[in-house]
Amino acid sequence: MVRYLCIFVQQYPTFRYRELLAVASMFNIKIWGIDESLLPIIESDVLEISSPFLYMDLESDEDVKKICSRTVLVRGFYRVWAESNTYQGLLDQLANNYDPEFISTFHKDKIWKIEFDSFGRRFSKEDQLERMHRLKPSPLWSSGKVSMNPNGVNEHVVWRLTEDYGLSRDTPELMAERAQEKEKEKEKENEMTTTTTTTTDNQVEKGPQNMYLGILVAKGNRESISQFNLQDRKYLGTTSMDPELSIISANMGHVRPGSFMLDPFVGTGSFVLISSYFGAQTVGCDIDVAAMRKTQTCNLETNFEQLGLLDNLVGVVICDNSSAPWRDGPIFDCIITDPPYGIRAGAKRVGYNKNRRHKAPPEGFKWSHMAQTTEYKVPDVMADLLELAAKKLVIGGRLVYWLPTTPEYV
Amino acid sequence: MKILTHNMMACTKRQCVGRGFPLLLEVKDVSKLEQEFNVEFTKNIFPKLDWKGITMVAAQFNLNLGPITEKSIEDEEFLKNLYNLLCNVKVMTGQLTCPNCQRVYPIDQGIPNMLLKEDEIYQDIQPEQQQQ
Repeated sequence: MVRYLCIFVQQYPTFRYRELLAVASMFNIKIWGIDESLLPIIESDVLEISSPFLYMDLESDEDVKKICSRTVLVRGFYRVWAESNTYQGLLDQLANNYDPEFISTFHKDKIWKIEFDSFGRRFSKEDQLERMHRLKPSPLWSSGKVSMNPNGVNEHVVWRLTEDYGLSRDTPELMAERAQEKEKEKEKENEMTTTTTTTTDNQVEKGPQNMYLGILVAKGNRESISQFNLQDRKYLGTTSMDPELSIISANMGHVRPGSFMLDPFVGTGSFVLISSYFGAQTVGCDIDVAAMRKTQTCNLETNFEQLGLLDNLVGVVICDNSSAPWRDGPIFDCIITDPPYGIRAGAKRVGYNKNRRHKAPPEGFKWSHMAQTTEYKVPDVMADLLELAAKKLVIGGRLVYWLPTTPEYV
Repeated sequence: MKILTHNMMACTKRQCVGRGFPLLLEVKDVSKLEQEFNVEFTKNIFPKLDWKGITMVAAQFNLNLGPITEKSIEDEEFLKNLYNLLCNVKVMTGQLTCPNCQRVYPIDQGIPNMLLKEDEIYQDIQPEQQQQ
């Protein structure tokens, strides 16, 4: 068992930990040693109090790499060598905790680099470089070759130095203080006392709360997001789901190679596209054929062609989820969907529309007649979706759906 | 519509629940695909298939899958043929007919239309709506 520091991205904090757990359980990976008192902070909705640092124990680097191959809200996993709130502390720890012989030859025949990052504060390139150089006294830096971007090298050691300035960086008091300072400066300018130029930087610089020095084990899967950029997609709609959120949904839904996945409200097909990317065979349904097939040359399948994923699309079906066309028995491994709530797209189902004149299609028009649709109320949408999931998911299958949390739905 | 989709579908009418499959398939236009054999998926889908539907469609396309036993899931050749039938046959135009109520569902441009007409829906309609 090895202790790792997981650094999350500062994005969608309420999903970060859940996504990690979902991916770990998908790969049957066990995680120990999480300080649960930190979880409310990690998962906090308020960005100002959420922290992206979480220690955990995992079996091996292999497990870490598996997790990182999927999670998009993890920046990376690191093995921490030293942790302190001063640079002297970091150097002392390196000197005290490791054998001098080992540490001075650690980089021998290796290519390495160091990255700097800070949480809660920004630094210029020069300051970053200066901070990295503060670690130079350690014998760790005495061997090996430094390269930022080596080509064709298997072993590239990437160090990361992270300064954590803590959570509440923009408290109201701090902001008020800053505003006051600005006003004072203005007053000074107005007084036009040009002779004395006092430096206002005589305040003692606040140091970081904590610093971590560690080796990168694996980076999260953030690169896959850009492949699905909405602006690159040929076929788009008003309800197309953000690629990052789609990937998170697929991770929560345990989509993996060989899975059979359904989206009963497919629309322009973001979820089926992403699930196909992760190796699932996908089926999409929609009541509105126009959403799936806009024109002959630009439709849901165009996006699959664009990314070379057409083999993974089983097909689309026009159907009404209030009377779904699936036979009895468990069929699907996961259902991932963004049901219509009548916010961006209206929810419809087949039924008598009271504004129409004819109740039944006139004789002779049976085939070309488009069925009348009526309003599909949100409780009915949800009830039908849950019933579908209960009946058609395999044991252990997963249902992932989006729910709006605007005041009227809470 | 790939044959796999056909195998999963049934008539959507309430009265046909449990009796509305396999849907009879009538093919006007079909296209053959060249997808690579996906063994992982075929093994996953194997236990969920409706074999009555498979044998029915296989006979329609003159494909001989050979005898189907519980050991077929280990038989690579069988799985390959099965995958070819499920995922490499795409019905572009045609229709599906419910074996129970004879309702016909059209397939157009490769997409089956499983929508019922409004008068076929059995749902709780408000009395005042019915009168209008």
